[in-house]
Amino acid sequence: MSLVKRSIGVAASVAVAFATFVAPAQAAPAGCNGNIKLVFQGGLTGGAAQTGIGEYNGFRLAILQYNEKKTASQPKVEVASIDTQASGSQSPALALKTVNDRCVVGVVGGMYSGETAAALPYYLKAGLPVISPSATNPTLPSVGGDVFHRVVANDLVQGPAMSKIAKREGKRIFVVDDQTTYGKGLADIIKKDVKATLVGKDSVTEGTTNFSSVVAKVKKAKADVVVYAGYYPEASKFIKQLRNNAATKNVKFVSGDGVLDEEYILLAGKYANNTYLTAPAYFLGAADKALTATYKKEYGVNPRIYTLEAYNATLFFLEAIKAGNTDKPSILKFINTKSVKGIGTTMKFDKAGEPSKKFINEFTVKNGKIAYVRNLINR
Amino acid sequence: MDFSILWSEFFGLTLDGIVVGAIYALVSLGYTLVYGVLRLINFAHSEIFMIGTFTSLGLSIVFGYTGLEEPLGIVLFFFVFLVMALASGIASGMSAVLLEFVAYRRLRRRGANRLSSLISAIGASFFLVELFRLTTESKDWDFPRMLSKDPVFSISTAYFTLDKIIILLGAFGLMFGLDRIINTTRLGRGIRAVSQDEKTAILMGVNVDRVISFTFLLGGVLAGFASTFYMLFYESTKFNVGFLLGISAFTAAVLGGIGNIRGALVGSFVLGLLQQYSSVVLGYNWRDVVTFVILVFVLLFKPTGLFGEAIQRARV
Amino acid sequence: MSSYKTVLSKINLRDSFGAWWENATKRQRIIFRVALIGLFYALPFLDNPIIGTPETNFQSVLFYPLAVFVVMAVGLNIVVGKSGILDLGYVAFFAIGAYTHAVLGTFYGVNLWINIILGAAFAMVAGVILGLPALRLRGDYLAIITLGFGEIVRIVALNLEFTGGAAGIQGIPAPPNIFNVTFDVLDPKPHYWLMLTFTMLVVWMYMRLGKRRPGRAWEAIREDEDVAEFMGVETTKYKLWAFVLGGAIGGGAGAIYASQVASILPDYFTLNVSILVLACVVFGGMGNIWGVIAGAALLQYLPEKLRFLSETRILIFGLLMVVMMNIRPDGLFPRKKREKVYDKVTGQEISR
Repeated sequence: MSLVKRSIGVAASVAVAFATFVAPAQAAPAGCNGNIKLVFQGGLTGGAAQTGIGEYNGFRLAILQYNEKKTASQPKVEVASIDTQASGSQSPALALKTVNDRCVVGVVGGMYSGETAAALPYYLKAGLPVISPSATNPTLPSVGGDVFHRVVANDLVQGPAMSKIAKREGKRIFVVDDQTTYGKGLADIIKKDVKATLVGKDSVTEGTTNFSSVVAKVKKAKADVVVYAGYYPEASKFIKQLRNNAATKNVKFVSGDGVLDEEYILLAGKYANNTYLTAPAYFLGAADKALTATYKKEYGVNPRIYTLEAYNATLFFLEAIKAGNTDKPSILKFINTKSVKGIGTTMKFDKAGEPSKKFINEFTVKNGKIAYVRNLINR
Repeated sequence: MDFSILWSEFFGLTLDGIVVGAIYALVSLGYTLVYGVLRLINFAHSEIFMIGTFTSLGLSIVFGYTGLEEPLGIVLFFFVFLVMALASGIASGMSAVLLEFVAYRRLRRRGANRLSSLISAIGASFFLVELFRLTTESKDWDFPRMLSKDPVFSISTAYFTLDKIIILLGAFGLMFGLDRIINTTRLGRGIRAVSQDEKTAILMGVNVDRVISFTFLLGGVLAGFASTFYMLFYESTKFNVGFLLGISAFTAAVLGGIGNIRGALVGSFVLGLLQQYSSVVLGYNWRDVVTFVILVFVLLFKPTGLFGEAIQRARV
Repeated sequence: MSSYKTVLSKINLRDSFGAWWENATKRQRIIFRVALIGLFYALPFLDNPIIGTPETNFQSVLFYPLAVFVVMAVGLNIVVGKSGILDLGYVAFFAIGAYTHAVLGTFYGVNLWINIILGAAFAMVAGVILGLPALRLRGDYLAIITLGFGEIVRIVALNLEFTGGAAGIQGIPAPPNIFNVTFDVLDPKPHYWLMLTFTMLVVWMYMRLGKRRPGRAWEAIREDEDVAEFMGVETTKYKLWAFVLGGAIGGGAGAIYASQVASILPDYFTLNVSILVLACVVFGGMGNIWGVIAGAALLQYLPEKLRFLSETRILIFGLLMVVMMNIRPDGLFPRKKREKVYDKVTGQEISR
């Protein structure tokens, strides 16, 4: 075949290919083709899945109830989720996907600070409003700018609460962190706070199973209080090893919301008893019995920590939608300016996206169950 | 860098280092034996170990000991422990034999180059890790406290609890047993023969396939016992428990001289001690770097290890 | 059993394509090249149900993992495929490049173009530091050392304040606009084109080197290092060259990656990544650059396309590696020369 014919043939096939492939893509509508969506971001599989599923259930219960009770003129809201496995490494791709779905008008999440921080740049660029039910690191507003909000007090509030307990329970404080965004941030705050009584510090990594060298350090420092800033898989092993060492078996153990989960009790067994725990949260079970019953009926399990907060965060979005806002900018404006009544509290955000009402509660474990002790901070 | 804790806790850290080293030793023997006969780094050996831990865990669930409040009586404990160790040994041993058959045998037959075998090993390792990650939901799985951990006696800061004593005695017993097997049984002699010179071994009538399967079986059984010891000591497992432990055990084998059985033992104890000491001095988070740095430095400056490789030059 | 083997061995795309290529005129070859390159650049616009990835953003996927892994596979191919140096820690170079841009770009305002070069340079330095002592060693030991090195880099990045620790570094800047094209977090296209251009430069450089002395030296080293040394090939120099060059490619790719993804964590640079890149090289056809590119593209594209399998993706990778090594150890698109293989026990030649 002559060169001319050949090149025409090639050009023609490329053009045809373009037409068939590109044309359909162009013809797709610019807006959303279906119902508006709210996306839950968190760890639905993996080590922290229990907390994530608890939040996710709170999230979808709110939407379920809204869809049932809404009027005909109010839009239906679809439930969607992205599973980051509570780690930052998956967040960028998932966030990008979320942002490019034009039907998504809001994100409830992330669950942990690390995965939230990794996704925020995308949400910020896209102007997608975010309300996190449980990410507590203080730097998140600077990463997320105008779109980031949370319904829980951050670690600048939780840290001092933990220090308060530590100073109350002992005179020689040892602080351990797990080097995650959350853990390290929290530990830094606490270390500054207890400076005078700080007798030692150490760091471990996620996945640590052998704490014997940390225990040795605690023993050497003659600490009577150990504060652990991290999550429950490591905390449960740490407490066991502390209690099994004759020298450290009576040290008080203080930890934060990353540990406050039934999994902690499951993993640490009887050693979990008498742990001092804090969280910027309430338990749904105590706050609203009727809703808890509905939750149990729908999902077959008990609500966990942050289920309530996830429900409230979702409620905020739904109120915005009820008020007639169905696109991102107007929903964002609503969130930035209005206040909404949730379960057990009224929510409003300040300029940085932090909740205007900040509180920290103290919990403990009694006889294998999480028990509310008192409110530590309320402002 | 804090050396004061090192001195004050020296005996305790040393005891812990030896106990951990004993577990490493049993696993590193698997690496070293396979390397001796096949000149292959069995990447998936760490997963053979992991399979053992889950076998013990599974039995603990079957026996209904999950969430056990009080330790078992001594006699009952020994019985249960023995059953678990044997079961893990068998599970790991058989997994190892199966692994050899599926992933390596064909390549060996074809005389494929080392790269292909290593990649097959890596693939098998990945496969097993992911398989267990999916089936165990990426969670930590806890092992019940079946034995009281109150110290039986103590030397300075070294608290000799019953589990540590059992591990030490058990590990030494197994190593002694291995020594006997290698030196007296026919298959053991076959292992030594194939390690020295495969072609001559074939000429001398050694059934190489059977020897190799037996080598994998031995390594697997040892790893299986080690896994039960591990569960007794650490009381928890996860799908990726094999990785760090495998690297440590492998580093120990290299440190002692890969292919060299006595080297693997010495290397394991040395590494166990170094890990304990360095984690108090440098901080726990740097511990794994220490392991890798040791690995890299030994390979760079003395690849034949402390005791030298059994045979073969290490440098090109 | 033998029938599928013979069928597999007959599927030799390289040879059939090679036959067409031999007979094509210069003009035809140019048109082919232009069309192919044009197609690659046009890919972001070809997002549709047939070739698009349903559950994730296609354009994002094109950049990562596709383009990133393709260029890393090309880099690793020089080391592993062409020269036979087994490197299990390739992700270290990628990490060094990424952190170079992350740190220098975010905290010191250095722009991406300089950081690509710096990232490649630092990676090269690391390659020399590691390679000089390590490359003297035999295959398995070298593999383990590189693995150790990869992990050391990751753990150090995890523990140092300077590299952001476990939280990593956020807010990594993208390069300023060129030709009215905005490099944006939300729009992966410009970064994709950038990576594509980088890849083509790398491939072009590889083609030139591959035909000349370095390429031949590398192949000689792969086939039999002792003989090569004996025949006068300066094996140390060329092995180091291969290693360092591979590292530079990884470093440059890392810088571009950091720019696109805007926030990095030590978690992104695990041993898994090294293994995945190696799998691409092995699967595609070691030493054959087109095979490697095709293999990398396939291996990264298919799991995204079949995302419902994504949970089991690495599981399938592992299985694939075992199966490939056993059935077709030279990869999908094997390189030209193949050695005769004899069954160890029976002494018969195994036909491929």
